Amino acid sequence: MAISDSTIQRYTHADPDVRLMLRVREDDAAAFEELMLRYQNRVVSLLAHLVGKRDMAEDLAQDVFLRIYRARKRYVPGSKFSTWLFTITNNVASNALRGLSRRREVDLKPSSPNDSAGNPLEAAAVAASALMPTRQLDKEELRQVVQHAIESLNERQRMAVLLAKFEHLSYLEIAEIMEMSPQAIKSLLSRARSKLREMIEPYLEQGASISNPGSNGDE
Amino acid sequence: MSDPHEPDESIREELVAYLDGELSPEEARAVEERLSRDERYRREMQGFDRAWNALEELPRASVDDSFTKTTIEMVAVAAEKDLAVQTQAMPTVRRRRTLWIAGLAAVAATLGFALARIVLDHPDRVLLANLPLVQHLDAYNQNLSPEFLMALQKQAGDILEPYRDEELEHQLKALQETEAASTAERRALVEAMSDGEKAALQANIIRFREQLLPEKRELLVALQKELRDGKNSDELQRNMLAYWAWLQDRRDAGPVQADLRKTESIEDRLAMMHKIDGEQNRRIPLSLEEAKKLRAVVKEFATDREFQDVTRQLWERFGRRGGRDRDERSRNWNVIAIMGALQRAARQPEEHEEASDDPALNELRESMRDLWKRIHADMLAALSANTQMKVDRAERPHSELLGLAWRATQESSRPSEEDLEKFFVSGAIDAKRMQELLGMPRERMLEQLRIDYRRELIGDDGSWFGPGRWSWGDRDGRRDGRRRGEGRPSDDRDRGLNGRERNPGGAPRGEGPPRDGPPPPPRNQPPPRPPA
Repeated sequence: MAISDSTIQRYTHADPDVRLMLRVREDDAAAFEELMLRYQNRVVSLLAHLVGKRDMAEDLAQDVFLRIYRARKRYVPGSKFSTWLFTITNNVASNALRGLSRRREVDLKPSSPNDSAGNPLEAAAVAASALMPTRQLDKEELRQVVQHAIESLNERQRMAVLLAKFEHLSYLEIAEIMEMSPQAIKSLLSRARSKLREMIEPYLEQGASISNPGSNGDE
Repeated sequence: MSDPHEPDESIREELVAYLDGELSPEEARAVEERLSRDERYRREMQGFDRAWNALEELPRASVDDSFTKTTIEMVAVAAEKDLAVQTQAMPTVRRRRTLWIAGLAAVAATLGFALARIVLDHPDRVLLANLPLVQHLDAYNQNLSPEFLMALQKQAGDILEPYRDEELEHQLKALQETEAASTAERRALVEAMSDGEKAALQANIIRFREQLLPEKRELLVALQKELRDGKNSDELQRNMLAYWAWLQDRRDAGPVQADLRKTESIEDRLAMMHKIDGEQNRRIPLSLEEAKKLRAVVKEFATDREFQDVTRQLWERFGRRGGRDRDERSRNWNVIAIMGALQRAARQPEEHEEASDDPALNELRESMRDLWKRIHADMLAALSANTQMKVDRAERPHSELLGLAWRATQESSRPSEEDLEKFFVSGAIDAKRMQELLGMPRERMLEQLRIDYRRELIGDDGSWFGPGRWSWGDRDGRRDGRRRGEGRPSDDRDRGLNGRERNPGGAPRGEGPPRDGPPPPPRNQPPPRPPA
């Protein structure tokens, strides 16, 4: 579908990253590096949560940036730059997961919360050590619980949750990235958040002290 | 809601959409209204919110510099492959050309931008490991061998001698320091380079990776190490740099380099070098100090009594005094033009000279020779030993020397508007041409005047003292009624005045050659030989 001039102008005006990408289209090296620096951590984080392996996530992120480079001459700003970038990221991740699934190299399907071995609380208990300060232990426990919860989502739910939570994208933007309708995204996120709540809430209700969940966002 | 953990699907969607800010204002107000009165509904919303907040605990990735670097490198490599694929798809004839222009077009358009960043910000392992070679890629890439470089010293030392100067020693020192530097030091070297140096290095690394076959790259790497570690490494490297400097100085340097590279036999290649060197005269560089000294020599002779006496005799015999040396430049020109006449007289071998019946003319010739000997000695003394040697080796050493003097006295090769105005009224332009010029728009007139100026004062090729060039006017028959008549045509060597020549071949500015001088040679054609 052709993108109208007014759309192009709107996004070019509103989104500095679109302007950077237009400079990349003109073979501006500095702009490419700037875009990489702005997005590399976000893309690697997203992919790491999607595929479950950090090294693989970095490889895939490189593939994402390579695709951006190769597509630069065809780039037309029909949306925010991040929407375009995460569409590519989603495609790269989907392809990789399909490949993994075929080869059965990794088991990305999380264990059932009811499996004793996979129970996040038990896992947290195992991780507990008398040598660890209580506060750190709580944080680590919660992190494991949340990690386990996110892994319990299916690929689509995970993608939608990560884009909504960490990229603050609207349903419309997520829908564009995942090639679904906004209504489908609404349902997808609703189910995903219910599932997350199912897994996380028991831990929270057990009274693990988390005074400020947002204060320990970095690894 | 009977069970907060299993809410109705629509309620769940509504609450999540509310938390995500995806509801319309009306829908949001409705949710808020219910939240205020329905505690279970409120707890439901809080449950979703807490779980959502807990996601903040998820680890975020933070990549290091090496990720950025390797990604950019990967992009660059991919771009090279793309280019190779495109190149392969082209017809054979175009392929060769494409490879040739890869260093230009591809750098700018296809992969240059990525590689530029590598060079500028992330000098990589390959570049750093091969930095001395990449920096001097052209010098190394001339099909060299230690045997050829040693043969150069023995059999072409005279050709390369002028290039073994301070600049070359500086280059050699820098090369050897880079070779001795650690990787970290090399990285610092690259990072400290000027933009121009980085651009040159960038172009070389692209050629090193893009255009050289892997086998060729290996050969060059081996050569660089061989020269570095060889017994006579200083001499080998010095000869390599001098040879490259000599190659760069050739006219048609590209084809000359290609011909020499293709010549495998060392003897054949040396013979070709001698042939090329003999055929091509380089423009001799002149230092500021030498130029200053040469100007002093010219100035000194301008007031020399003997010089003035000879000049007067020449005026009386061959010219009309016009007295146009109103400024320093035209005065310099007049002096040098006279010197040109002197050197031609002096260079004419006496045995070829027919005695004149006119004893005064014979005496004048003798005075001119003597005078030129003094001028020649003083001018040579103004030059460094190196420049003197270059002058001696020139095809026409005396003309070369006067050419240097001329260059030294020229403050600018491009005349100012004031110069052009002076030139316009100097009488050098005939009435017809003046009318023609006055009929032009100002810009065009100035442009044409510049061309005339060059022709008249400097000569089309910039060399006043080229053989057989009459020094003032009368070329191409442009000056009506001032053609030379019968007489000795000008020569293409440093010929001097002979008994039959009525003009010394270098009358000063404004005087014009005598009407009975020889016709000028047509431009762009070799001048006629003198009669036997």
